[in-house]
Amino acid sequence: MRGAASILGGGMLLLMGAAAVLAPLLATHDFAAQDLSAQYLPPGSSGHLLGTDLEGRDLLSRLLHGSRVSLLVALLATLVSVVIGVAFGLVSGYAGGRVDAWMMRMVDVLYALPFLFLVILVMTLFLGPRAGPGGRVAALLIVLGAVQWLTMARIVRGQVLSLRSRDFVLAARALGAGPVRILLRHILPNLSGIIAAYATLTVPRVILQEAFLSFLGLGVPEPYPSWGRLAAEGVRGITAVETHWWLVTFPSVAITLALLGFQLLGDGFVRCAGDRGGARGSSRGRRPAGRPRTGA
Amino acid sequence: MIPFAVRRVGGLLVTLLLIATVSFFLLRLAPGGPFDADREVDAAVRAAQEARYRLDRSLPAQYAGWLADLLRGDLGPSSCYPGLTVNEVLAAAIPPSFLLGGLALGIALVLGVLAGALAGRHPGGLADRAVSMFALLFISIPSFVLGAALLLLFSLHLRWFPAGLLEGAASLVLPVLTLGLPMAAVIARLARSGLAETMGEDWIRTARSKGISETRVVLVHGLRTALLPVVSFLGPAAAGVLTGSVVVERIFALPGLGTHFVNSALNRDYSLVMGTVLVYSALLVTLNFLSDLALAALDPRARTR
Repeated sequence: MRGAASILGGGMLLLMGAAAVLAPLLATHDFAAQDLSAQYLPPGSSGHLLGTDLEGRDLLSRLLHGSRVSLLVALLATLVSVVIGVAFGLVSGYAGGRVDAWMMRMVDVLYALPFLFLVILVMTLFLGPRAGPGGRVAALLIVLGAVQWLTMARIVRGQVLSLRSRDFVLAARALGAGPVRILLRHILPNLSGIIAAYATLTVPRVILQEAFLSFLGLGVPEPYPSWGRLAAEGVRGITAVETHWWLVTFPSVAITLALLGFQLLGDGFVRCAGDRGGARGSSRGRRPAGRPRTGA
Repeated sequence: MIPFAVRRVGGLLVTLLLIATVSFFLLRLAPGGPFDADREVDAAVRAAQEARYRLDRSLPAQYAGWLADLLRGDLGPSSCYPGLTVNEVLAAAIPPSFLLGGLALGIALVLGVLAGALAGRHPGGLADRAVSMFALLFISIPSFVLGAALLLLFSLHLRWFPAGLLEGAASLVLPVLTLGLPMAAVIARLARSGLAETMGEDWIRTARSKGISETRVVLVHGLRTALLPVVSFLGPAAAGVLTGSVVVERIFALPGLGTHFVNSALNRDYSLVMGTVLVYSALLVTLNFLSDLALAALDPRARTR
């Protein structure tokens, strides 16, 4: 039952990934082509399976291309956060003592910062209309990744703390291996499972934040569509007179399915990494919980 | 307990000062200024404007002046609302925002803990599966989509609640739900896994064997430990409420802090941006502190950190 949920999540993501990769082949229209004679066509209209928007652009084609932008931004930003978080956690956990205490204190302080405000500030202040789309996307990746690494750093550090006194690390040190080699060749491979698990759980958060920024008009620039942008455009198009429901519904369904997929897969990964035993992320000396009783 | 609190308050003030300083210099480093206009302004007018907002001095002098004013409780004049001071703008914007955020946080806590308790009592049971599914769904919906959906259904279609503006209690229902439901989902997940773990502990079996009613076992013996993760989530939850309110205020056209924050950043209204950043971070830092304090009260192991 539990495994089935993860497989379902993985399957959904595979489908979406395939749609994103094959977008140019699957899209029936140019995603940026405007057709002012076909404004706000409802779904099922001739040639427009999911309808069109204010400028007469085909929603299906925009969604397909949007999945490329959204997934790419989410994966790359997650990669940025994983690199920062893992590096920070490795150094902090292995250094130990006072260095570790200061580094973790810093993470605590950063946790307390209203990070999204910083993101909003950076995006509004440094990326006016003059910045090119490439620059904006790059800034988006770095900024979103840079605010997500804290949890990863904490988890990795906790794991390193418990691994660094294990026999195989002592053996490596006795053979003359330096700290960099020990961390990268001996400790890091042991963490791959838990890193993969939390990276998978970071992706949906990044997608949500990209959607949030898009809603404020600070996300991926014109004319490129992302799911968040499409949904935001749909929401902004709602008036008391007309709603154009398809412009809100289909992008939202795409976002929700993607987030569900990553969440289900990530939950499964976390359970696997936890079941295999070893060090757990919790620093509290509680005994590890067994598998929850089922049935009852 | 007391030394712990004192130590934390010191750190709190340092954190606030740090945030204010970073934001101040970040703002001034950014290209563009509050008086960039399409057409040339007379030099004397411009000089007068810059003198009023202290923009004619050097950066360190501006910072020192701003800090001195801050200590007297004066946040300076606003440049995108001429004639108003930042204090006045904030005084008008804070009450609706705080009302909205406070209610959302309260509802999220009540709903989340109740749902989590219901689910965590029998892991794998019907209630658990239902709650987990709903929680996952609400976590996976962007807040502006949830807001739009509620707006479409309850306001434009059923006409139960007003679609926007802050007029009467009914107008608060949809914004509070939009802000509170996703957070309730996160809290429910935390409470559920906390309780599921706790219900396997020895002291729960002991309590049961003494013949204490199941409700009391769950609510009193189980939840006290199970809620630790929820309490430590309150800080991040407050951050979520603050950022979420930016979106919710936009959708429901509420006059609050979030709107001012985005507008003032876009208009380079330095003093108003600094004012909103200060209010937000002070609130956040305080809530984090309270959550740490509550955690220390509930769990002595947390005090040493």
